[in-house]
Amino acid sequence: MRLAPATAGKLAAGGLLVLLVLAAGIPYAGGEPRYSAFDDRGTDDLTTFRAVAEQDSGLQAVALASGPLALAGIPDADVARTLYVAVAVQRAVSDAEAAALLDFVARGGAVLVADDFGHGRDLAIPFGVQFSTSALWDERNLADDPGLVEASMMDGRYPSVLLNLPSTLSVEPNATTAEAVTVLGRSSAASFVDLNSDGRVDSRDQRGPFTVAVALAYAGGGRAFFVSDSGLFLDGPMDNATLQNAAFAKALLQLALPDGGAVLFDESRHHHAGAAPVMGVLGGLVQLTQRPLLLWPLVGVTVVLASLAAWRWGTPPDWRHRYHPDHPTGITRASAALPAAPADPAPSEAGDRP
Amino acid sequence: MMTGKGITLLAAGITLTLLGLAFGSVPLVLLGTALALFLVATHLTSRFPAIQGERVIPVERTFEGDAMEVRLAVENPGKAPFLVEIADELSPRLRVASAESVFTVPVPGNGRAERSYELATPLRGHYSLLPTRYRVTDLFDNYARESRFGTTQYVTVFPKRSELRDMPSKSRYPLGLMGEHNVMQPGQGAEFFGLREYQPGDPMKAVNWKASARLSDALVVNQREKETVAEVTLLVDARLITGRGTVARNPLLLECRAASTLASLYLSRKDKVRVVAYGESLENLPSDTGERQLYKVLSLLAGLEPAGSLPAVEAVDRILATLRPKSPVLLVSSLEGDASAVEGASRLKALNIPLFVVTPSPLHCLTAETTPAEREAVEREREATLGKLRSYGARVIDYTPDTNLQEALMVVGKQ
Repeated sequence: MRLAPATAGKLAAGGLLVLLVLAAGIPYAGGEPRYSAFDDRGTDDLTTFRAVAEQDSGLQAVALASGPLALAGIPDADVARTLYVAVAVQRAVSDAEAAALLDFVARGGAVLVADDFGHGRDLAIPFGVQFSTSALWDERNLADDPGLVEASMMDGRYPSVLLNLPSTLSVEPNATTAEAVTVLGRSSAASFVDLNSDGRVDSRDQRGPFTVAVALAYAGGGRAFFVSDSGLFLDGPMDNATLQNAAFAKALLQLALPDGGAVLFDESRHHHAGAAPVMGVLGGLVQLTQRPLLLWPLVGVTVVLASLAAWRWGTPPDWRHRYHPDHPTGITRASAALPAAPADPAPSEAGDRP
Repeated sequence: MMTGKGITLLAAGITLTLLGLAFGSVPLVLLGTALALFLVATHLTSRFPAIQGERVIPVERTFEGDAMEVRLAVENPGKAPFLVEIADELSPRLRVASAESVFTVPVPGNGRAERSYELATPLRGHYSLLPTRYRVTDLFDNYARESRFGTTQYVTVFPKRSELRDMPSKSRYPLGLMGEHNVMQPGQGAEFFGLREYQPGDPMKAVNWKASARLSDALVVNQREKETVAEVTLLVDARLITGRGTVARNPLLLECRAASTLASLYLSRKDKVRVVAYGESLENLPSDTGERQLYKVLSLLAGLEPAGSLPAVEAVDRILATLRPKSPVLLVSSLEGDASAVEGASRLKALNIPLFVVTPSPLHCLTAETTPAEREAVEREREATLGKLRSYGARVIDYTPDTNLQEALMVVGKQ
């Protein structure tokens, strides 16, 4: 069945509108959202961390929907009072985004990346920080779960910070440009890296303590903090009064923003199933518009294409009737398959003349 | 489809959104997004009125140079009034004699609006008038819809013809004496021919009582003269070269007008007329008389298009066997590039078939692109051909587009 152009146009526009509405209005179809600082749906969010930032630390919490590239748009005057936070980086990170993060720190900004086996390792690479690929366990089997690892943070000031199946960190001296590297937290001696993944300690495994948090200081005042666990700042352990996760978070925020400022929670790195297309589009748009060499040609092309389209399809055809009686028919002796008239034809025979 | 205004708004919306993102300006982003969404929303919700209409054409057959009033009517079955643009799509060979042929018409709710224009028919042909076009836009003039209403109608424009008066001619079968005429033989005519004895079966009203009284033993009846009609064959040149010139000035156009005039003359005098057009092939309209035959002749002439290069002699050869002796053939041709007409004339002469050549000059149809040398060559070629035709006894009527055919006939009559 062939659709009329008007009907096809309406269907296309309606379908696009429905997609946009679904993408923006049903963000959690297909799964529970996690790691969001602005959507409190359970214990796997960061709303408590955000509350610590806003209420306990007097900081401004902002959702960043477009990824690290947007950091380039922060004025220099505000960079030193801005902390970028990425917890559980579930979506891939481009080289440009990782470089943008390093550039932000070089300008004086602060970065906090908390991840274990996600794409946070890609953000850490420019800083010379490496996340291990093996899980860290605790043979004390806290709460009957060897994946729960107790760490001591900030020189023992916070000895009971709980991590949930974390990885470990290492800093490659030749790969970092930081002026100073400080180990912020270590696991206990009861921790081990299960190299053979058999769930128990044996001679092939590595025993703790291991580095689980580091702080890097850069010239110009920039600082970067890496934590090898995506669950440290979740609402569950943060709300647990027996643990010191919330206290450590507050201290970390104080260390990152001693003069106050804003905390940018990167919401673009998480899987929001239904809103992913919208987030992707927005992220792409921001990437595009932050690059003048791409933006202005795009604007120019848009204006030119629109002008051409308006001229080609937007101008209604001229229906005025035109009559051209003097228009040549274009027929010649050649086109009529006739030779040219002879220059000197044979004279006529004698006969009647008018 | 989107109008220019709609496309501009959409582009403005996209541009503002991009600039808003670039400069971090929320108002710009909101404005741009709002513009784009507005266009999407109006596209989805736009309603175009259901337009009905009709076109009335007073006649379906007319002659060149006539004009007719075409009436367009638009009806609005809905309640809301609307503005609609309407226009007929006409052949470029037709002319609109009135000031406007495109109308922007306000149509009231549950109402009707009418417009008319004068359509002139300067050139012969069979024309199809497609359904009338119309265009309406939505409330915000962002989208437009074009469609048509009505049906396809057909108009036939016959070649124009001029009135001819009977003129004396020295030819044996003068053009002016064609039609019903006495042939010096007894028959069923109206003129008195002579007396003869009564024969069984003669009607009593034919008895000449005066003459019979003078004879004592026999009845005498009046005898009438036989009347007969002639059969004229119009051989019309429709080769491609006859289309040379402009749309309104070319040899085929003039030939068709001449043939139309001659056919009308002979048929009005109850002669039989046959038309044979040659160009790409031979198109033959069999001989007949009356109004119906006139219509067929005019229709054939109206639809002739220049094509092919069949020479005149070949056309003559193909119809030679069907020609009646002494029934004249009128060759209507510009004769350009066709010296074979001379050979055709000789073959007709051999069969005692009179030949008249009605030839519009192609020189007056040549455009300004023709070089003087080429023009002179065409003129010489034509003169040579005409001279040869005359040598075979053909009566040549040489006329220009501005010369009246009757005057050209007068020239022949003075020979």
